[in-house]
Amino acid sequence: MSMRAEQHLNGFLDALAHAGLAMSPIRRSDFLRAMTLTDLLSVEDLYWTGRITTVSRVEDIDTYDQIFSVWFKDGKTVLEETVEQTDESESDQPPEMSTSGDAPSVECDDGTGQQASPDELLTNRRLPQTGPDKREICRRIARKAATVLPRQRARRLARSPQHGVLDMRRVVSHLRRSDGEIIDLFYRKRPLRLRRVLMLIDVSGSLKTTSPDALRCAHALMQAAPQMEVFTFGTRLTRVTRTLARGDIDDALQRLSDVIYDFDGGTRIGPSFEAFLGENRLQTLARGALVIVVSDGLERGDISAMQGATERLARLAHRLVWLTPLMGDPAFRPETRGLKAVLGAIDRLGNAATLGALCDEISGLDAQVERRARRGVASRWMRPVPVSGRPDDTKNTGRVL
Amino acid sequence: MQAALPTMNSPRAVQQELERVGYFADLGLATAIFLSVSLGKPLLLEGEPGVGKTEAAHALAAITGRELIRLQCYEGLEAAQSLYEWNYPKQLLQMRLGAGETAALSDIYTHDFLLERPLLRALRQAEGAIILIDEIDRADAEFEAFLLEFLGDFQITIPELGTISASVPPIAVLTSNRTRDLHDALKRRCAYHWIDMPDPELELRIIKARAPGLQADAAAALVEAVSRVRSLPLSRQPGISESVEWAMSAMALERSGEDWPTALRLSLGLLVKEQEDLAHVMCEADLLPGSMA
Repeated sequence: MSMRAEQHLNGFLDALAHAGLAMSPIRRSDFLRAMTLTDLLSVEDLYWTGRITTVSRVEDIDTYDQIFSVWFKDGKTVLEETVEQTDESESDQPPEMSTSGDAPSVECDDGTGQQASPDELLTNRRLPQTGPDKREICRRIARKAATVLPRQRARRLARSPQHGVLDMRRVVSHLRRSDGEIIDLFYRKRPLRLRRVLMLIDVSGSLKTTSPDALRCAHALMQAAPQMEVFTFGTRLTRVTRTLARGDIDDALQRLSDVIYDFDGGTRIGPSFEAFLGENRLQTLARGALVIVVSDGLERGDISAMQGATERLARLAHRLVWLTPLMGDPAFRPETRGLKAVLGAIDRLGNAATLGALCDEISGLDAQVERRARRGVASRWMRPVPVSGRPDDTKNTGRVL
Repeated sequence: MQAALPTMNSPRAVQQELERVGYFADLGLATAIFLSVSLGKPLLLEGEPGVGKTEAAHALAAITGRELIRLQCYEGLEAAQSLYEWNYPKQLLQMRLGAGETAALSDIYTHDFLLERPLLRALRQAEGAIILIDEIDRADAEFEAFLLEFLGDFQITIPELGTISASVPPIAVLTSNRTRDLHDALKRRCAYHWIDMPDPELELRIIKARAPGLQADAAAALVEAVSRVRSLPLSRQPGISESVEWAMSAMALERSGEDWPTALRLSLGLLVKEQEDLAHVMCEADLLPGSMA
């Protein structure tokens, strides 16, 4: 390989590293070795050879494509030089980090403004400090959660002192000491472990006062549940698990304002849920998990997307709990189209008006959230109420909704 | 030590050999297979379900003449199910038979008492094997760590027996449906390739090969219908295996007396497998080909 071609290739690798792809020395040497092994008959061969040795995630493919088209636009010149000599001995050592060949300049066009959506108002927001009484409630949530969160059996067997499946390997290796006489038996069983918890928090304008408390509750739950994921949605879906995984609640809340851009914006529940369910990896987060949605269900426009997505979420989840701040009002009835549409799919409709209410909901999880209560949720809210207002007047009844 | 494929010395040669056994790969996949074998790295194939990842391993076994050993992954998969397990009843009997004499280690921990699971069988194969580790994303992180060791040196240590290494290193093919992100350490060790849905020309060739007897214009119309279905916002995109099954089932229905458009409509459930998606597709009346036979 000529010096110029090698420099160009090294420059290409440096550009990839700069763009965020992991470029270890082993990967670089694999790339160069692959170049010598394949007959590079066309730019396409070069493209594939490079991609297979340098890209290891689907998300990086677009980045690779962009950088490739910049570096190998006039593919022919580089190709001829690369194919000239194939020197086996050179390729075994990782290349030195020499100064790369001249990188072709990347020209940036002026933006066309088409990316900006007219619907989104991207705002940041400072969240208020957490007072001592709220901190106390958070501590209570964390303590309670450890006992009430649902569990499932792990798939792996672990040593168990008393009962379970016989651990034959240990039994047999002990038998050697006693000449084949079985004296001790050892067991393994599948331990119970906490299910994953997934929280979807609505941060749009209609929940302006409640969303900070919901985020505090999520933070408290994270201390108790090892596998927890938290997402916020408004006009877009944002994953905030990492940001919330900090020790101090106020520290976490301050950092949230850097990550969440659709605070106090509009509400697009259906599209946000569909974005969540559209990705395979995010869908796995909901499978078999306890899913808690904190939202008032006030969806703009067509609710069919929200209904479909919530039903899918309910089928994936172990339990689906919907908490709305509007239930703080004792006379509340789910009258919006959105909430009425999802009633048949959820396992519990609860109160998210204050942090204390959230704490009570969490504490009551095992008692009040049962799968067979699913139909009960809808029928409870659709119960006929006597027209005259007296509960014992069974003759004159009218449906509430 | 790297495996060698004597008949294939370039990606295009690999592509032609694969076509000979009925597997149509694009240049990217052929290059991936070629590089993984030449560089001696495991091949990691990721893609949507139904694009032909498992079939690629079968085709590779056919063209290399090696035996395909398959390990299906699931959550909780352990060394005992994937690597080896001791034959405990046999060991117990042996100890009883030799009661009175001190049972030495070598008496009951020998190859006779070893139950070989897929990974160990792949190591011990004298002529070399192809080990297909299917759906690695369904296994958990502990298994991935264990696999990393295995794929590193192709040798394992059984405490009671010693180290067993491969005389001919197997070719490892891993597939993943991307329901979970794999560990970087595993990905770095492998040659990675993402298999996209095939473009219409390639899909037409596949359907013609897998469903012989389908007329050319019917096949073309079918492929176009499938691409239109894929452009709809469905919860699960149909893959190649689904479109092949659709073609074959429609042909079977046509042989039993239905006319072609009805046969296509009746067997739509083999293309689209979710209830809501099926309803969505049925609404699009102009999606299905008209009267073609």
